[in-house]
This record gives sequence, C-alpha cells and structure tokens, in this order.
Amino acid sequence: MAIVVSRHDSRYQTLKQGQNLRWPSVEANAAARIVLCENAADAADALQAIVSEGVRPTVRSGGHCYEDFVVNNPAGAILDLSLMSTVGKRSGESVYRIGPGAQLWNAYSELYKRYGATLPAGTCGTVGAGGHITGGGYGLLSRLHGLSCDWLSAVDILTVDAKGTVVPRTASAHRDADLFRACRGGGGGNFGVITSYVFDELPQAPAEVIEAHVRFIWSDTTVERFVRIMKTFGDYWETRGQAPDTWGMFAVLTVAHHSNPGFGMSVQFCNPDGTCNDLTVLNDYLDLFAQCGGVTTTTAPKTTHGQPSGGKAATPRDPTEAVCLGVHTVRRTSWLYATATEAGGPGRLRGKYKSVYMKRGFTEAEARCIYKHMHRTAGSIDLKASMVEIDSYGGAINRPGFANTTAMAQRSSVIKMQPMTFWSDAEDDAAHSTWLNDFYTELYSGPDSDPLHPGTPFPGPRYEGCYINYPDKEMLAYPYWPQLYYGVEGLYPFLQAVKRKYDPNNIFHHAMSIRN
Amino acid sequence: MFEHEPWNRRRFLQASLTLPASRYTRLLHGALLSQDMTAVLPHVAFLGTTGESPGIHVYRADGQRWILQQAIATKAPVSLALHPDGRMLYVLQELSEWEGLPRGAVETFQVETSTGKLRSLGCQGLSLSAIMPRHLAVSPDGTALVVAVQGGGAYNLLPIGVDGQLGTVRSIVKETGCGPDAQHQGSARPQTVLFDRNGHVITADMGSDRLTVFGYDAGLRTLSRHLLPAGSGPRHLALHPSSRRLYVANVLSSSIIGLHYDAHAGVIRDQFVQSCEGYGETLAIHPSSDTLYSSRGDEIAAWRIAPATGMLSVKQRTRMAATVVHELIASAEGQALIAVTSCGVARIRVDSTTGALGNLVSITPMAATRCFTMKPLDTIGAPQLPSMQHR
Ligand SMILES: Cc1cc2nc3c(=O)[nH]c(=O)nc-3n(C[C@H](O)[C@H](O)[C@H](O)COP(=O)(O)OP(=O)(O)OC[C@H]3O[C@@H](n4cnc5c(N)ncnc54)[C@H](O)[C@@H]3O)c2cc1C
Repeated sequence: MAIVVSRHDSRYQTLKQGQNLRWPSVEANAAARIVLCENAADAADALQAIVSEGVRPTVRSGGHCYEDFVVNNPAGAILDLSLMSTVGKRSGESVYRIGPGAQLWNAYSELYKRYGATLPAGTCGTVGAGGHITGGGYGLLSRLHGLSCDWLSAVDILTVDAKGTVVPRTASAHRDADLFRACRGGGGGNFGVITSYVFDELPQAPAEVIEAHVRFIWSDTTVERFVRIMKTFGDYWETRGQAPDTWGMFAVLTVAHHSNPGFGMSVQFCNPDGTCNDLTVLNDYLDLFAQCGGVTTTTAPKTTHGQPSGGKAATPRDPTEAVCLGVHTVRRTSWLYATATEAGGPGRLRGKYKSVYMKRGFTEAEARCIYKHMHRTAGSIDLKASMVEIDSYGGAINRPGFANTTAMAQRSSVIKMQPMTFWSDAEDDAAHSTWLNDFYTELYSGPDSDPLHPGTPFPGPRYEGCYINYPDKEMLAYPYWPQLYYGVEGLYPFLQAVKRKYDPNNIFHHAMSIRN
Repeated sequence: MFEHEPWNRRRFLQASLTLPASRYTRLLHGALLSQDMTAVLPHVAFLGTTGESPGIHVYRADGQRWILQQAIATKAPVSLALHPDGRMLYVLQELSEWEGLPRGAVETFQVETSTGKLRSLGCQGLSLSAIMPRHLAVSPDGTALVVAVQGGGAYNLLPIGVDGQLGTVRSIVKETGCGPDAQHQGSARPQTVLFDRNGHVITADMGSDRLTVFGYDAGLRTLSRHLLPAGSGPRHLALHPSSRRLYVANVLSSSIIGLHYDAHAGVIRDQFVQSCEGYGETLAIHPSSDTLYSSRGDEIAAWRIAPATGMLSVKQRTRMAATVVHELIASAEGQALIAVTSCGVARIRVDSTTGALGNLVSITPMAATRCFTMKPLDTIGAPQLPSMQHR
C-alpha cells in the first residue's frame, strides 16, 4: 500500500519540495499530496486512483529536476518512487535491475560490491536513477563506456491508455520497441512511470583510477592566458581526446566566477582496461596545462554544482596514495572511493542551469565571452557559486549506431558544457537567472553562432544543442526548442508519435514534455 | 419542408468583402429582409472572428441596425462570456501555446458602460497541457469561470475577483476516455460547459461520450457522470427553463437526446427522448415557448417540446445555405434567434408566443465568425442580479 502524505501530515512541508528549493514557486502551485510507492503494484494502483480522479500525476524519483516539472503541480499528486531503490539481480534472473528510486551512489556501491560492475552514470550521488537514466545519464566513465541509457535492455513502465486505464508494460527492443527507444534518453515525465530499469549486461568498474586536480588563480590569469587554457582544453578533446586510448580519461574544467580566487580542473583517469598501469596519456594531458599556469594538486576544488561533498553514510575509508607523475602530484585511489568523493550530498539550494553540446573546441571569441561574464557582476548578488562546468565528452558515447536505437541525438560532441548559478534567497531568483541568461545568450550570439538561431547552440557545425536532463525553461522562448534538445534528424517527431500512442491523454506532461 | 430561400454563403461573403457591415445591413433592408421586429432594447453585441485578422467586433444593436463601434485584435477567440454584471468580457483563446507553455488562455476585457467598447486587461494562462480550449462559461454569481478544454482533455476553473479580474487556475480536472470513432474520439474532448441555476456545471465530452456534472467550491468536484451510447459524440447542451430537462446535441451520431435532470443534486437521470436524427451540433431553447432550436451544418430546425413529457417533434426546418452554423442563441426577449455562422451573424425573427421561426431580419456579415454574445446596453457595466439566461 502506498503511503499518502497530504497537507496535514508532518512530512508534507518537506516532501512537497524537491532538491532545488525554487519550487513550489508559490503555495498554490504545490501538489495536494505526495504518494510514496514501495513497489510497482503500489505505483500502478496509486496511478490508477490519481488518473481516475482527474488529478495530474507528476513522477519523482531522486527529486533533482532542474526545472519545476514535478513540484509545481497545483492541487495535483506527486507519485514518489524514492522508496523503490532496490539494485541488483533478482533470484532466478540474470539481468541487473535498478529501481527508479535508487540514488546513483547507492547504485554504484551495490553494483560494485555484488558484481564488480558499474553504470556509466552521473556524478551527483543523490541523483535518482528514475529521471537520470531515461534522460540519457552520463558521467566520468561515459567516454569509456557510453551513456547509461546505451546499456539499457528494458524498462518496466506504467502507461495510461486512451480509456484512462493503467497498463503495465515491459518495453524492450523486442516489445513496444518504439516506447523503449523513447525511454532511452527522451527524458523523464513524458510517457509513463518507469518502475524498473533492466540491464542484460553492465561494464566492469575500473580496478583503480588516478585523480588529478589542476588549479588556476584568477589573479594570474589574463584574458590571453584564459583563452589559451580554454583552447588547450577544447583542442585536446576535439582531437587527441577522441582516440580510444584516452577514453578512460574524463576532465571537468570548472570555471568559477571571478569572485572566487581561482578555478580548477579535475581529471579522473584509467586505461581503457580499467587499470592505471600506463599513465602516459594523463601525463601528456597535464603537461599541456602546466604550460598555461595550471598547478596540479591532490586536493579537489570545491565539488561541482556548488555543493560540498558529504552526507553519505557509506563513503569508504580513504585509500588514496599520492603519486608523482613527472612534475605533477596526483592521487591513486580505488574507483569506489573516487566515486564517493565526487558524489556529493543533496543540494537543497536554489539553482539555475543551462547546457550545450559542443562538436568543436573553444574559439577565441567564446573564450573571451566566458572570461567577460565570469568577471561581470550583477548588482549586489553573490556570484561565488556561479560557474561554467565544462566536461570532456565523446569517446564511446559517439560510437555509431546508438543515435538510432536510443533517444539521445547528440553523438558527435566532444565537450558538454553547463553554465550554472546557485543562491539561497528567493529574492535573488530573478537576478541570478538574468545573469546566467545574459551570459548564455551572448555566448551564442557571437561570430561562431548560427545567425538563424541566435542566442542558442542550434545543431550545426559547432554545436549540437542542449541536454534534456539539464532542462532550461527559458529555451521555450525559441519555437525550435525541441530541435535544440532532440536534434534535427527526426527524433522529435518520432517521440511525438510515441507520445500519441502510449500517452494519448497526455497524462504525463510538464513545461518541456513532448508535445503531441 | 424548407420554408425560406436559403441565405447563401456567396451573399454573406460578397457583402463582407465589399461593404462595411452596417451598410450591408441597410442595403438588404427591403430587398431581402422582412419587416423589423417590434422595437427591442438596444444591445451590445460582441462577435469574435478567427482567420487572418482575429479580433472582437463590438456592435451597438438597435433592432436590425447594427453599428460597428470597435474592432479590437485578439489572438484566437473561440468562445465569449460576459460577467453577469456586464463589466467584463472573457474571451477564450483557442491556442496550443501561450507564453511558451502548452496551454490556451483567457483574455479579460473591460466593457465601457455607455458604448460596450473593450479594453484588454490581459490574459490568464490555462493549466499546463490545456491546449486548444473550446468553450467557457461564467457562474451565475460571477465568482468563477469554467473552461472546457478540447485539446488537452480537461476542465479548468478560474476564480473571478470582485473586480472582475481572473485569478490563476484554481482547479483542474484531467479527463480520460475514448470512443469508437477513431478520428474524433481518440481521447477525451470536452466541448461545452453550462451552469445550471444552482451553479452546478454540466459538461459534454465528445471524445468519451460522457456528460459530467461538477459542483464547485474550492475546486471542481464531480457530482455525477452519465455515459451516452458509444459513438454519440456529445457536442452541445441546452437546459430547459424548468431546469428539469437537459437536451444534448450529439455531433457524431447526428442526434438530439433528452435527459431528465435533477438540478438540486446535480444528477443526470434517465433518457426520455431516444434520438431525433439529424441535428446534432448546437442547440438553443426559446425562453418561454417550449421550442428547441438545433442546427447541423447549414440547417436549422425548430422542435416543439411537449410540455408534459419533454418529447420533441419537428416544427420547422430551414437552411443557411453553405454557411456553417457555430452557435444558436435565443434572444432573452424571445423575439429572435441568432445564428452565429462562419460568414457572420444572422438574426431570424421568432414568434415570441409560439417560438416559430420567421424571416431573416438582419445579417451582420463577417468572414470567419466564430463566437458571439450580446447583452442589453443598459445592463453593460451596471451591477445587476445574477441571470441564468444564456444569451
Ligand atoms: C547535483 C546534480 C548533479 C548532476 N550530475 C549529473 C551528471 O553528472 N550527469 C547527468 O547526466 N546528469 C546529471 N544531473 C542531472 C540529472 O541527471 C537530472 O536532474 C535527472 O533527471 C534527475 O533525476 P531524479 O530522479 O533525481 O529527479 P526527479 O526530479 O525525480 O525527476 C526528473 C525528471 O524525470 C521524471 N522522472 C523521475 N522519475 C521517473 C520515473 N521513474 N519514470 C518516469 N519519469 C521519471 C520526473 O517527472 C522529472 O521530469 C545532475 C543533477 C544534479 C542536481
């Protein structure tokens, strides 16, 4: 039996919110109840009751949605699957299952301890499998092993037919194959309620990894030097970084606002076989940045997303060992420990994010624009937690074939970038959004942008649009926003057809859901 | 059976293309029109048009003389309703996107007291996924507005403040259901909302063949459901002035049916008129004479309602050749039937005692006319008691 938390319940005030404290934006937008389900049968019954009552269900797993898709649900019901968090093989089954409520850190830990396996998924430990995998799901091992949706073999999903009846389905390449493809990257909250992710196979976790951190000090970084850093990063991932011997290396360059003393790059490395026996690729890479003022350290800058690590019960004991690599001092550590450290805790801040896929490295104009905005202030708001996170990309993600069997269109990019800003006071909402929006719009209105789609990284020779797991409602201002998220090759019309077929009533909808 | 020379589309269009509406009306006088009806109060008439230049056209209507006061642009008017006190006109926008979100919207216009001229006060978006809304109605006490959302398969309730302004959507009912007609009944398609005198909302859903009665307080509450035969496709409703009988126009089965209605409980009971074939698009009831009017395509019929049983027998049929009738409205005085057609608004004389259709009195040609409402000029902008009359 599902647990129903309504307004009078002491848990309501906490559970009506997600991780991003921007929503519910006003009390009137809050859901009337939260229905916590413990298994697929619960979820089916609860969903049927909600639909029959004429109420709008939204679906929540980890609660990390970047926009208001779940939590702004006036008088509606949040179907919360966070308790459906089992990870592993059922007795008598050979497949791996991940419950939608599993937090990524727990999934990594369980898969590792039971099977030595892993999922090439995201870094934030409390992100839920539920929204993450169906939105694509990438992380530090994705250049080596592809996206998490690439490994998916089936989903158990509840859809609602034209009559309003809940239909439990197992969608795979063999049954409801169109729905299955749509669930492999099309984004959460579109077609139904996923109650289980099924994987026939998963990659083995690396035995160990090397972690390196490179620091740059703003006071030493002229705009010319900044351009050089950006071009060095971009050129590497556009060229050398696409060769298979580098696929085990993943770099995150986090350019923090100038109100911080500096910014940094974190690198996780292993050889394609999951060992750290040959560190030449890493060493060569780090050398490039030493030439532009980077200092390699063993301590991570404050973790990405402005959210400090911690809050996890299960972090293994630190087994790190400092390693001298030429002029660089790096850390050798167990993969699980590295992943735990990276994972971070729940954010519980206010945040606004944008995204872009880049098919090429940075141009000088782009680098200068980033520099300019990282030095720009906006009234009195604090921009210490404002940054651009720039991830290396490509490698196994860009292996041919997946574009047609998944719903992730972006298979030619070498960098994935995420401008973002965090704050805590509601009165700063507009100022932070404006700061970020002005930055992004100018970045994609420059000489390298598509003049027909100004202000956006429209798919073309340089860019490949945006990431649906990093949704940004401001992109709705562009009538072609579906092409930004789903490409120009017909994926969006395909998803629309799937939507009409499996959700004819548009029960599952939000501001950026597939429109039928 | 047809009593009149059909009024044809060509005449409507010719006029609307070449002449201002008021001149056309005068031109026709004598040639085509019958004698004017007995003098009626001056009204303000609001006519919504779609097509290339969508807008609201405001007329001062003195009997057959309709004089254009104002034409004001708006996005996609599909249904109009006045606040009971006549201060505000609510215009439903048949949109699939409003401010970037998948939803339609309602625009509020302030109505000037002496002229009926409009001033936009802005738009209120409907709920997410409430795309292509179809029809709206204002509660008799003027505190709520309810929208039937055809595209999104839903109903929305928006509160109306004491100043007549709309609040944000307060209640959403998301419908599901389908019928055998694959083209029109793939999912729920609410078409019509109608308030009874107790403030219950009676609704017709073409997609699911279902009538629903809602009560409302904080939000819409389902009081009862009534399932029609599969494939009926209920499109429009008319409540008899007694409030005891509800007539339903079924567009897919092309029929009219009658149902007993309990306005106290908000419950639709058994069906007493089985099926009158052939006229299932829009309905209107004469205020005093037990006459039901219905239309299909360009045809209009008048039916006698047997006072004791509510049974229907056809009295008259006529045609508006080649212009589609969107709405029929019986004037409150019982002297005219207004046919809102794709080519403009026609006033048809009605015998106020028998309800019989007379001649065409006047035509206000306007291409792509979609919706209409009117009200006596002296009740515009002036507070008055709630009125149940659908005008
Ligand atoms: C701190 C942080 C770090 C991140 N790091 C990464 C990263 O490294 N890599 C990456 O790829 N992404 C990353 N993301 C983005 C993340 O993948 C998305 O926010 C993801 O959609 C969150 O899923 P959730 O279940 O936690 O969120 P929720 O808010 O629960 O759901 C997100 C969306 O998915 C829908 N949904 C949730 N569960 C289900 C279900 N069971 N069935 C159908 N729909 C469902 C929801 O309705 C909603 O639309 C990060 C996000 C944050 C906040």
